Amino acid sequence: MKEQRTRGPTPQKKAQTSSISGEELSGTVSRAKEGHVEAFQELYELYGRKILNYIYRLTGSREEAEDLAQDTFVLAYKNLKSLKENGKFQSWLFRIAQNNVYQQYRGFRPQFHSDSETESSEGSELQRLAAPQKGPEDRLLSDELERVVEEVIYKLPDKYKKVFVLSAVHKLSYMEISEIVGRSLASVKSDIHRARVEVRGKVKDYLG
Amino acid sequence: MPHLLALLLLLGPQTNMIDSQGWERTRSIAEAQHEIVMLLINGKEFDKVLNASQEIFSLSFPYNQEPLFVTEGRILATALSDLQQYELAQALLDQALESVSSNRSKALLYKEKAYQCTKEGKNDDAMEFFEKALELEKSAP
Amino acid sequence: MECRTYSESLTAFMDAELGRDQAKEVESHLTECAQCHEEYQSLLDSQKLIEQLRPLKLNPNLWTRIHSEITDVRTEESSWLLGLRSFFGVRWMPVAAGTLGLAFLSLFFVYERNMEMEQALQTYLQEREELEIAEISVSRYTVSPALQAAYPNPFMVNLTSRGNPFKVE
Repeated sequence: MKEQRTRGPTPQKKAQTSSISGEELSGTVSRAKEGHVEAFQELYELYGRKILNYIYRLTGSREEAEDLAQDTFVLAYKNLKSLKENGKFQSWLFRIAQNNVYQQYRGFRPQFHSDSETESSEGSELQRLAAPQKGPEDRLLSDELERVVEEVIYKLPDKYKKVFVLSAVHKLSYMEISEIVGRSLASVKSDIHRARVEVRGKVKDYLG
Repeated sequence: MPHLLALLLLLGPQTNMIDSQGWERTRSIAEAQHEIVMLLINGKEFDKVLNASQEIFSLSFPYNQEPLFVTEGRILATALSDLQQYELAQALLDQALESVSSNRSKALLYKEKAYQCTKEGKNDDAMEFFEKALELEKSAP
Repeated sequence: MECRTYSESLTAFMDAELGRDQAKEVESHLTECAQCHEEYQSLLDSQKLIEQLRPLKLNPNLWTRIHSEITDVRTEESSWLLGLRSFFGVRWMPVAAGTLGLAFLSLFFVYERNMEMEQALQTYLQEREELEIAEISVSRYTVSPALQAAYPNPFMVNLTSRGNPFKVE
């Protein structure tokens, strides 16, 4: 007789990745296309943090992430009129971010700087507290474990890293990820699985 | 005339056999020479690499086996640039370019040259090679 | 479906990316198979760790920098037009507009073509990158299996990892 196992948590459909409806987004993008800077600022406020963090996961450096995020939004503003479907703004923006990272490094991988490492070596305690990069109040992992997990993600091969970050960290749909990275759905699905297995394995090795 | 036809029919399969024997011989020479080139690269005897790789690229391949030159060019150039031997990688790809006749193969090799240029930050050169590749692709084969 | 096939679907199941029927099948299998259940649980645990990573916060002056750059672009465009108007005067405006229009159109096509070319190169480089052979360090004068895997001999018959077209049947 087969033993009945308790079911694992039933996967929930991905939560809305943005707090804006498709129609509202389309309207905001249209206004930004007409040159309304405040509309573009709304878009920045919706996607700025995601883009910053995506670039950070790819580059491993906060400073680079900020510079490249700035370049991404400026480039997006300049080329907004080339976006045919307003509803695809998110994937279009991620694609620009990805291309900017690639153009910057062209296959050369910069050294990983865990944000906790750079914080401890730069500036006074007061400066750190004045401009916190990560909130101490929402710390759930120990600093060391967080650094290990970040480094494991960072060291993934590029093609796995992109899809891993977009799915596991940013919770984008596989279809959207496939649009951003320009690969087939099947290929993306397979790589996401391999990346997750690799991350799990390496973190497990660390935890012992 | 019928005798000639009969002769041709008889020789046909023989010719194929000779051809495939010839190809097998060429292929195994290339296979062995690839290993020699790799040993030289990994042994850092870079001054000998181009002479050794020329042995491969001067072999006479049938037209339909030309893609192997492209693959070989890619693999060897990558092995060289992994050891920061960028100039050598470019020179090797130039050897491969001399060995292929189809525009399609040349285009792929120019794209590889572009890719290898980006590894050493020579982006303008990369763009030049890439444009050359696209021009050749338009007029392929 | 074998356990191995289920294993490959677990991530998609976790991400709610499977179709309804397939998801039900996986869900049912998880209640019956201890191994897959454990595998799924460990993937979930690992995902929970990822979700606990603290994201970077937006630096307040990042928007200031972006805003200043995009408004510079707009300012440059408008002051340039004013300068042009005063140079040509109202009478010559149609001629000036026509000439400039043509000049911009040709520059635009050149710019567009350059952008297109740049984009095409980027796309190719990304594809090529994904074919990148892994770097390994090898000992001198040794053709190790790892070396052969990293720099495969394209002329070798029966090179199964590369789907060798010369494989002898």
